[in-house]
Amino acid sequence: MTRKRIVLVNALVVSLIAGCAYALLTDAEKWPFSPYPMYSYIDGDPSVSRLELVGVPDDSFSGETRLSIMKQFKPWDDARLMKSLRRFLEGPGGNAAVSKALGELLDVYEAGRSTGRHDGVRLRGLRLYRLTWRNVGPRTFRAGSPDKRELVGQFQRAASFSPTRVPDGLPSPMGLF
Amino acid sequence: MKSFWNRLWFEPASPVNLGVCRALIFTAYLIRYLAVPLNVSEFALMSSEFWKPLPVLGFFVPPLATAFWLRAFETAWFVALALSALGLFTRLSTALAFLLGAYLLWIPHNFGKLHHNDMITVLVTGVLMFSRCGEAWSLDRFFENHRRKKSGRPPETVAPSGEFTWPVRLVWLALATVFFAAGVSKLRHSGLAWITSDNLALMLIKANYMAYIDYPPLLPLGVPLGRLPWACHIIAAATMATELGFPLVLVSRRVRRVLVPVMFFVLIGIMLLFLPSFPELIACFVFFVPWENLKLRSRVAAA
Repeated sequence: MTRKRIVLVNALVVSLIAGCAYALLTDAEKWPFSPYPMYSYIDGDPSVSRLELVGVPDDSFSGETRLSIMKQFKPWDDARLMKSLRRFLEGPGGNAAVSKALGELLDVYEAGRSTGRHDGVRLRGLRLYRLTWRNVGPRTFRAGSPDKRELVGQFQRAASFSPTRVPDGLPSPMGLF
Repeated sequence: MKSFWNRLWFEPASPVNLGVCRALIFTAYLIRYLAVPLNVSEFALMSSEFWKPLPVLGFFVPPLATAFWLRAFETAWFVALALSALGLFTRLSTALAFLLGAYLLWIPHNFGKLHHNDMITVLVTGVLMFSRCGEAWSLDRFFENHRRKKSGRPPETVAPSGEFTWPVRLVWLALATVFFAAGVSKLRHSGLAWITSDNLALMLIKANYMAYIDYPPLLPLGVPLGRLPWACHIIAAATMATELGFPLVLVSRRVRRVLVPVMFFVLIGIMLLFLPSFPELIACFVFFVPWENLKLRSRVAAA
């Protein structure tokens, strides 16, 4: 090996160690270096909270359809999309920001459907729910229906078969309804 | 100290091991990103509200190219990965695989959430870009020997060199930094309570609540395992010890024999019990297999 190559390799070794140390010492993401904090915090909260995105079919006022984020909202994956929506929920824009985001996601869904990338039903709206299970523990596992299912955001267009109207019995509408 | 350092990084080795690792890791990356494409061009069509920039190295945010260019880059990246796996135009293809991959892999992290699975891809392709990984098990070598044969010269024998040792060891170091950092983070944020508390039991249980939204863990063992506190404490202790001790695999063959398979099964366990999978990290374990020895052993067995 030439001296130049040896210097290059030593520089690579030092850079790799320095990058890792930089991320670790600052405890912050320095992509592509990271302190890898996932699963490192103790989660003592005896409840579980998850966001769930469901669709409102175009031919129904009250029905909802389950959605597959990975298949129907490409390029999003579940974790990435829910983190984004949670950021909107907790951000200054609140419900209006969530509704706007859901409107854009509905466009993504419908674009995928119309181009044949997925075979989901035609939607006219999206709803975002926060699901909560309480009293979660090793002896109390029951992942069936959540204890609380709360509508935290929605976006709805007028149905293609009738003018816009707010149906009775729906949860309190928000945003751009 | 100097001789230890030189032995660690520059001990002469034949090019076979590095060549096999190159072929396998680029094949694995190609399959992984073809199976679940990044589709980054579609992120470019999202509104700026979704954009939450993640600075590269903590200080630099590259511009987001248009959807057209991102599609072109992604196609070129797949070609570069395939050529790198085949070992054709290896210097150029590995360089493109790194440069395009680093840019494309960075983009999704600016939308919503940073996933930690693909940073290792950037580091490993970066290492291979600087290496002479196309000297064996490559079409470059095949065509070169074919040319020599046609002109009546004997095939070129590549002598053992430190050039074929340091890239493998540097990938080991990259993996060691990942696992060590994860161990340090657990100690920093939770201390030994990460082992002694009910934390792991609760995490195993909570992972199963995703089943309600169609994302159940692959193996339904999290709940029964979470009900065995002693088992959770042992797994937590073993995980943290393996992560913190992993850098030792660079210097001790004995430690390597224990910690490499243990960490491999920890990653498999996370995938089966928690769902997040780290295929890019798991693929890197090909760098721990002594491919050349396996080849020799199979020859001896055949004889």
